[in-house]
Amino acid sequence: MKNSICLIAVLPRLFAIASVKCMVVCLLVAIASGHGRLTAQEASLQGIGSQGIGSQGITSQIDRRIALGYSKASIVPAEICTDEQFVRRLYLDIAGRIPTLAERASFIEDRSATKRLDWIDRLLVGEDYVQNFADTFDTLLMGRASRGKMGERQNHWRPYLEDVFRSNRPWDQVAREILLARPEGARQAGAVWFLYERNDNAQAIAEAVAPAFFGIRIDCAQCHDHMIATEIHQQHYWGLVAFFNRSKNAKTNAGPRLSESAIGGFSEFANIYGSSYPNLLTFYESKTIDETRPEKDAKQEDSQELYLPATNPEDPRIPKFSRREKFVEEILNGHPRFAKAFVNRIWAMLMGRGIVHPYDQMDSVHAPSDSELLDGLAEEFIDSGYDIRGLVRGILAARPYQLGSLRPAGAEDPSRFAWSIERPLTAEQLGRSLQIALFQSASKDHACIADLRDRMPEVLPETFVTDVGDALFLTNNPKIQQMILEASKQDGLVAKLALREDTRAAVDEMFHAILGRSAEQTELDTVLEFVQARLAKRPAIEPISVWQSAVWAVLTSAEFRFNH
Amino acid sequence: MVRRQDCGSPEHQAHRRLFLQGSMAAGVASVASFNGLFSIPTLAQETKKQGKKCILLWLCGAPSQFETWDPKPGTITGGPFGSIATSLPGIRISSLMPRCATIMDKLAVIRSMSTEPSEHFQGIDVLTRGEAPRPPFTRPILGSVVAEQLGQLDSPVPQFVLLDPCPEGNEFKSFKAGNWAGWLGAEYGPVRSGGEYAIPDLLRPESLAQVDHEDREALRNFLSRKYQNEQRSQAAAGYNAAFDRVRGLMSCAPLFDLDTLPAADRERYGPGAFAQHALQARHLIENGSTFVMVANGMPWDNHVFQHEMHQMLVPEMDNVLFQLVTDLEQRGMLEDTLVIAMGEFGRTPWLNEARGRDHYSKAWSMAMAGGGIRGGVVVGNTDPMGFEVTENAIDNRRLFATIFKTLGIDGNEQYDLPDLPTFHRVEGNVQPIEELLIG
Amino acid sequence: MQKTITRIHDFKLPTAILGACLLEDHNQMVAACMDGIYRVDLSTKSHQRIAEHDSYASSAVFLPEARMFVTGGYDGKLKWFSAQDNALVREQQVHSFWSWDLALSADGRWLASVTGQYLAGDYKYAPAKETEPSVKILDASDGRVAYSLPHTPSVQSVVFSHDSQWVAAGNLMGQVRVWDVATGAQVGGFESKDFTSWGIIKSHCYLGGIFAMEFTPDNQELIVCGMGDMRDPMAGNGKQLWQRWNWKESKL
Repeated sequence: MKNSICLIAVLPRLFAIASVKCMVVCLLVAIASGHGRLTAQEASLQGIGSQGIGSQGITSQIDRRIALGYSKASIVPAEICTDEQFVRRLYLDIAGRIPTLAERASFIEDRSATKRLDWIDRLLVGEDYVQNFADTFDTLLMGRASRGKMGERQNHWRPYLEDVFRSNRPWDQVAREILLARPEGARQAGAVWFLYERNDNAQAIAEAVAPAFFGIRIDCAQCHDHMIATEIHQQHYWGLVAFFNRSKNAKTNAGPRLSESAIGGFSEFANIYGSSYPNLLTFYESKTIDETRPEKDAKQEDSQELYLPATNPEDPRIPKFSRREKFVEEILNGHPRFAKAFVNRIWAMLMGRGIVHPYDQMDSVHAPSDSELLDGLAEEFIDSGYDIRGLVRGILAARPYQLGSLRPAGAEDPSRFAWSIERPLTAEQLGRSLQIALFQSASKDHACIADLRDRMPEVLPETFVTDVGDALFLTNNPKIQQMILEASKQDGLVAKLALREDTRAAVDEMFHAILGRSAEQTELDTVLEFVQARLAKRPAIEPISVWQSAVWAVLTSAEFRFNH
Repeated sequence: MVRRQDCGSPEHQAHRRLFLQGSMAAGVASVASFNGLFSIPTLAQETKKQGKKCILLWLCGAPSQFETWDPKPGTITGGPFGSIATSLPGIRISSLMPRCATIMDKLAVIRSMSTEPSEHFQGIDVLTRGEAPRPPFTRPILGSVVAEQLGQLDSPVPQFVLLDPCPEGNEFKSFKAGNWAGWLGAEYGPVRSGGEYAIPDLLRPESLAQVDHEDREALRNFLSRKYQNEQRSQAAAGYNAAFDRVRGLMSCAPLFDLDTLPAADRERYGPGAFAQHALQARHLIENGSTFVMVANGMPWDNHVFQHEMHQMLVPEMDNVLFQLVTDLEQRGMLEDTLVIAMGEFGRTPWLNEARGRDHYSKAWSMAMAGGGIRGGVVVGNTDPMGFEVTENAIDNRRLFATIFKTLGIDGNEQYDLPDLPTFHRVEGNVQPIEELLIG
Repeated sequence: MQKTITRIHDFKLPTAILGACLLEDHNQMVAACMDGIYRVDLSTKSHQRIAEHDSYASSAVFLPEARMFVTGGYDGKLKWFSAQDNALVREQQVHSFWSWDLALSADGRWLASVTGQYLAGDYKYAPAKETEPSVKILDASDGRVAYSLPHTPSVQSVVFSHDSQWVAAGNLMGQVRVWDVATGAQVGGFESKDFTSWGIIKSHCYLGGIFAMEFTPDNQELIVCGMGDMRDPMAGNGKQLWQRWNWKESKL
């Protein structure tokens, strides 16, 4: 509903320009579908499909649907981005950091006609992809945590998440492992942590499961049917809770496990108007699982006969009627939201906003900007066997991902994806990129990352606003200052720049190392003047401090802060 | 009354002195000498506009009108607290508010607020922005509008401050994370402070000289603006606006230190975080801020044990409002400073099974004082049980029209910004509540 | 020992019941309700509103020897009524804030009433010190105040030991103090952190506390109850919590 209002506001403006731009639009649509004259970048884009398996369908659907959207809205999309822009964007999105100088040079020099595809494939099998996606999914599935909790996750959850992306486990299998929480073998052990960390709190589990696997938020439906997204009912909330309210954390010799009782967990929930209802095993857009409910005041007797032993003797026994199992087999399995929610989330990660925005509120209030596209991608994803890497690859290879980030005149609606939407680096991406810029290598455990997480916790924010506290942090925080001081030693960037005889070359090198591009003339002139004026005051001013200031200024410029 | 022109920090006084001498050169040579690019904003703009100010006591979570401004004693759901007479003949308020009862002639109370949304997030939006959202456009919050219209953007003292000690807070938390300044741009967003979450990183790193600190920011600003302009980037504009405030904020560090306030003042306002921040709000307004919003998480959302919580919350609010109004009056600031105390809606006339009151937006109350608002006026009325407004229903638009009018801001004015459909400061061409306006 | 409790009456009054007592024939009940005091005939299931306090009535106890019942209210008053004809015999302003709870000693000699308004005491909303004595012990026969005892507000529950020797009062913060009824001297106490919640989600203040207490039959221990930890006190989503304390071993 909200979206329709906004379109009414925008449309007259679009119609006004439509006639003028009509010719251009036709031409561009033609290019998008593979006809017309090609630039070098266009040519690279045409190489799609040479190696990827199962992702071509995704790519071609995106290109077709999005181009149709442009033409319907009479939008001229941005040009394809340059190689310099592409390599920075790709590294940030996949490797979770900016490229090193060597990586960047090697990409630029690559003369292959399919080089963008080749590099997408190369990065998708790298360890940086694993770490970056593990970072993002950790936050999306678990939320930011205290440092103590992060330490616990490191031992249990993190190795599992990394293995998921390293071995490209199908997403449906991952969801099953996480929600059934009966690990078979060491590689699945950490999957229990999703439930385990929520510490027997079935409501917290329900409130996490809904956005993580179905792309909806049900928190509002705890006390009453959702007031705004009216299709989300209170019974969905308490039904989802019921699937998990017999589960208990169990510490076993094999590690953390989730036991489950065969009895109990029956209650009535009351709405704010005083009526009450049984908490049946049910969920949104799904069915109700049959279960014998005891008489109201009858006491249920627990007995060994209600259980089966686990395969591994260390593991908790398994109830013959397992609510968790029912949920996984009959609700999760084939749920109409499951694939869509994942596709939409990956899209949001790579494209700056979801086809449904925000990505985790896929309800009646938040309509998809192109429901056919979402449906089509979800189908492709299911057909691919829930191939995560294939989905990512399919989106990266498509034209909208590779557009320039300058919003073209006349295009206002970001949900048309007519330009590459600027998005802030996550704390982890920023922390690693700072290291790459300063040292040409990055550790995921660098001290600055924990501070950045505290300061800038957002991942995929619905709207992004820079708090003045962020500016204070980047300006005055001792750890940021410390990093610059460290980079003034040995092979650090500041030290290297200070050693250069040729100041002009040093300025250019600084731009390459930090921003991944050459300095433009005005930038070169300005920075040179800044540096030379201060170097002239030697020995009162030490050269190293001049470069510390210059490097800080480039590192904290908006261009570094965003992925564009 | 003496109005201080700055926040008392030595650095800032130095800048002022230089300005009065008509020279910017001496103390800031390394910045100013640098081909004009890096000059700091001329301090002439710092001269105060004689504008009005506003303190919003944001009672987030929604307080009960029955335990504050519109008691219904003797009714079956009126709650356990009685009512008391006030300095206004015939007007009674909750017995939890003995202090405000003595200054009712200075307060304006609306007992007939009647608004649409009855969920927090939507209610907060409507009562802080004045209008329901119309995505993708984000209407600026009241404080941003007032800061833009009446504030001095170049003042080192932040023009819009949010004081709130709570890092969490459900709906209010997500609201806090949202875009406050909306289409006005991030430079009109609030500086946030409060409590133990006082502004961190306010001091320059020891290893860095003051000159380097300022010079490198000037260079950063040049590069970052270039990117912002060439990309036409909203996100970068917001990012740069945040950096623009750093220096001013650093020079104002003492303003944000509660410990610098006199002990007697701190005691008068009361010990709780809300009370202390209300005092800090007065201090900020006195020293050049234009709009200060004082919140305390969202403690008023008492679905459970309404009265057991309101027994503490209302007396605190009673005292805070009393102290603020009398304080501002004694300092000669009340005429120019509007104080607003409200939440996002009211609470049900009936009690739920947990002896709580749930959300109710059909008939609720709020209060104002100063800033050109006529004291001793009670607007509107509700039926004997408080179910319905019986006279003079006031919605968010009329409330905002009144607030803007009394602050001297044109409520009917259209926003004149690129890429924006037609929006007015207050939609619907509604009239302010005349009986509340002195001028 | 196991006791089976069987429900023999199911009765609904027009407004919420905050406290109640049975009269001597166990066929009559006095209920302290939001809108006043009700006399209920359990056999005929009829009720009659017989009197009111200036606010909620919060508790009721029966004095068998005097054949009177006493009610406490949120008006801070105690009222004595004749069980014979419901006539008001005595009324006394005991507190300036609510009487949260009222207890009668087993020997019928003493009444204890507790009060206290929760007001902000510091930046993080720990309760302020009391402005009037929070616990009062009165002679049940004439209402004379025998002792005024200190505690931290709000004091929400009070109970006598079965031998009438001790009186215990519990508050918002989960602190219990126990006094000797004969001397008014504090003889024990403890603090359980599990009954109060400080709202980190929505509100920076306390909610909860000890709602009711009972001595064990040997009087050596106290059973206290209330709501357990609530991450979000606004939602009141804590679980029912009972604890048993040896009140003599720990001092507060």
